Amino acid sequence: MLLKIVWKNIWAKKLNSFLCILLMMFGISIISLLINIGNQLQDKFSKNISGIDMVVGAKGSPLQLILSGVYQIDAPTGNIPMSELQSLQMNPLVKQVFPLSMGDNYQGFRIVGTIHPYLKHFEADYAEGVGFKTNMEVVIGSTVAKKLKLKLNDSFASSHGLEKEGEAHGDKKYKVVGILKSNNSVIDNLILCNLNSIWEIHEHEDVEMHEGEAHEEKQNITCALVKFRSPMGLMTIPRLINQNTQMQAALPAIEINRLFELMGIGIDAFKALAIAIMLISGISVFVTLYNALKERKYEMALMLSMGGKRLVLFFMLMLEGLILSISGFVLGIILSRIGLFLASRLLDQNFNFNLHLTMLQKEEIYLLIAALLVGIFAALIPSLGIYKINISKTLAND
Amino acid sequence: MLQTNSLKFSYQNSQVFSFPDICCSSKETLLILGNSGTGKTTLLNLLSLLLNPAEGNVNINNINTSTLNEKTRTDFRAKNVGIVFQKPYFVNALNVSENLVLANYLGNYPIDKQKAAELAQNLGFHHLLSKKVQELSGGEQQRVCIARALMNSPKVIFADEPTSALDDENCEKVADLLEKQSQIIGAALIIVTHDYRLKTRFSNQITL
Repeated sequence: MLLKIVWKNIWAKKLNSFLCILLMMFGISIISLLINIGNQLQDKFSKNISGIDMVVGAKGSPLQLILSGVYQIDAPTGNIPMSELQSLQMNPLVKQVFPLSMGDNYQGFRIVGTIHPYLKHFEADYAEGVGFKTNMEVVIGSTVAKKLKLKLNDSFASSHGLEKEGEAHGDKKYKVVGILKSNNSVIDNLILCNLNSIWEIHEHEDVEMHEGEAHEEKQNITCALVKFRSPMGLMTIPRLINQNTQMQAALPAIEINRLFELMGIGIDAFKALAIAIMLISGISVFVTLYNALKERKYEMALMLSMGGKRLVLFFMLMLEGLILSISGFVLGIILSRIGLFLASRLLDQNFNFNLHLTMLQKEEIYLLIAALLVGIFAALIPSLGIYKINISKTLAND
Repeated sequence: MLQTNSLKFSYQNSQVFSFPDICCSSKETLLILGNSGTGKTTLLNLLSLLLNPAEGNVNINNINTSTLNEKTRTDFRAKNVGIVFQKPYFVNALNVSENLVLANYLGNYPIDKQKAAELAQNLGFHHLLSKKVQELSGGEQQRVCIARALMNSPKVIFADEPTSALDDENCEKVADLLEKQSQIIGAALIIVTHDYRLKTRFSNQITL
């Protein structure tokens, strides 16, 4: 009966209740969306960074170098000759160098020429098949396999550039020899082959276009990921490279921090906006309940005269506020999941980057508590008015 | 069923009302008459336990209500007292039937929809049970209020100016209904009024 009264009262004030819920919904969904996207981006970014201490590539924006080399989302800065890497590989402070050569794609997925240790670095595991051994053999990431429905021994021709619409290298075809298990890192979205495959494809073109050029010059790579043996490497080598060579060295940790700082300003602004919306929702609950109590003063006095306890009526009004804020919360979480799904599709189309539809995050539990607090505080003052009602005076007043 | 002993009451520092002793047994009707400002409504509030007297006491069903504390008095009122207020007050979000069973709920009785339907039949608003209370006419609202006062079969029924807003025909009807229904449940009926139409009808009267 009590719940019925609460429900009927909410329903009797459809527009007011709708406004309260709507405001709460938007506040919650914006914050929840920010939390989810922020968490997943950070998770993905830090997972892919792990172990990579430095990236060397052509001169240009260091952030771009990191984004293209480590995360495979931005365009590469340019090419560097393979020979430049040799001195780096000899350096005793350097543990490992993974050369990466890119520039072609198949259906929007990047084809990256590299060496086997690169796969080992990401702890790649084969779902089917084996690693690439000879030229034109490729290993594909799980997302690539799923999206393009590629199977073992399928073959395809790559196209030039990093976008889908590129000039096709029709005469040489890649053959799938291995498919990787999904491991939630950047290689899920890559087609991997040896460096020679890339060179072979472009050698052909180069010969056609610039006949007679020296042979060594074509052994270019896009960038190289470097792991150091000790932090000493971090101190000395980047400066050495930036001063003495045509290449630039970028440190992922620093660049990504910078990126998050830049994004953080935007995220903070959004969060402030969302909190403001939530507060307005609280005020709207307050005004609704406060007016309701004024209008329903007679009802309350009537119920009191009929044997209603003040405590019960107090909880009845509190419940109204809480139901409004909780339904706002639930709808907000649902909306944020829908938003997440849409954002995921958008990112997927543009960057082959997936967001997961997660269960309730830890931060969202705090959000629920915040929503409850807003509801409680907004309902508290009007609800306390129950204790001020003088039954006989209220009912006798004409 | 209802007796009072030297009731006195005063609003903050203003005049002191002292009321004559009142006695009314079950199935009887007592009319309390008086002009405005003579404390009719105050007396009704004292009798129906909405106000506490400064002196004296009210006995209902042979229980001295001044011995009850706040909480038990509320329960006692819900179970033993039915009030028809001067104005028809309702919980507006609920429909007619729900407003009736609200009395059961607040009085801690099981919800009795059948009783609500029976009373509605007797008082002639059976067809209005699922309507919103705001959609009813003044006379209909008054009858719903009477039915609500009867829902818990109280020992005493108080009616505060139940006929002041009604025309002669409806006045007669409402007086009939009140008298008949309180006799059916064996309750004492106390009507506070300045309506002279009722004066000729009920002989048992007290004038303040």
